[in-house]
Amino acid sequence: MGIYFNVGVKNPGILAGGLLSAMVGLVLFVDGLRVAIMPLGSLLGQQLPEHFKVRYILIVACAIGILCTYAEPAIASLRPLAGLVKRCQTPYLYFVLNDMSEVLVLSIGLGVGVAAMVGVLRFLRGWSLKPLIAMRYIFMLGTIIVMQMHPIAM
Amino acid sequence: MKWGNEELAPLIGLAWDCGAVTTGPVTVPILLALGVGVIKGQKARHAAQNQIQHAAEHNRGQTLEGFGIITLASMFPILAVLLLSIVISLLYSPEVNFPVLLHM
Repeated sequence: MGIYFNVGVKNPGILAGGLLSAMVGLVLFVDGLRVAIMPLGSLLGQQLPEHFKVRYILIVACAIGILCTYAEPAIASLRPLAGLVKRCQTPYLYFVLNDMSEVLVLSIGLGVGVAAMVGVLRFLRGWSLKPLIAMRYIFMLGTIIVMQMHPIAM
Repeated sequence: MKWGNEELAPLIGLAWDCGAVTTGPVTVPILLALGVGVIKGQKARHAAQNQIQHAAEHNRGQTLEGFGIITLASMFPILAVLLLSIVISLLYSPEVNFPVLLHM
């Protein structure tokens, strides 16, 4: 933990206080989700298709996806890791994590937004999940092969 | 134009991790609730249609859940980061834009 955040633990009081506040915060957070956010999301999904056209629902779903990503606490844990990456060993990784971190988060957000759009469209049209996942994996396999290959001049 | 860039390989791990990162405590409940809501609305509309048309078996393939949206939400960001890294490798090169200090 100390290595991860590059700070040593100073005194046990701070440690105990931090643990306690994390616990209280998570309890309140989950309860807040249950009481407010989930009914709100459910209502949104239920009411929007009745009043608006499909393309507006998709825009709202995409916006929700992007905003969710920015609100995601796990994304913030990427930042302390950026300092640990060695520039000379992995130049691209260093560049993406340090200089392009905003673009990285934005692209993740766009990914989630597109996923929300496809998910909502899937429910509305009754698409099957299997072809979607298969297609996604084929695309990913292609990009990974490109990223691991030795450069070939075309 | 070069096809393939093995220097991008370290980014593959980052991309797959980003896919898991997005399905965290904020995104999952909201997207799930959205999906469940959409399915509920669909069900209500189908039920109304069925009442009008007297057709009971109209609910093809849609089970009662609104799930599957989280799978998509964990897969699309992976693809997004993979594509981002390829675009970055096309736009920037280590020699020009961020010189590598070999003796660091």
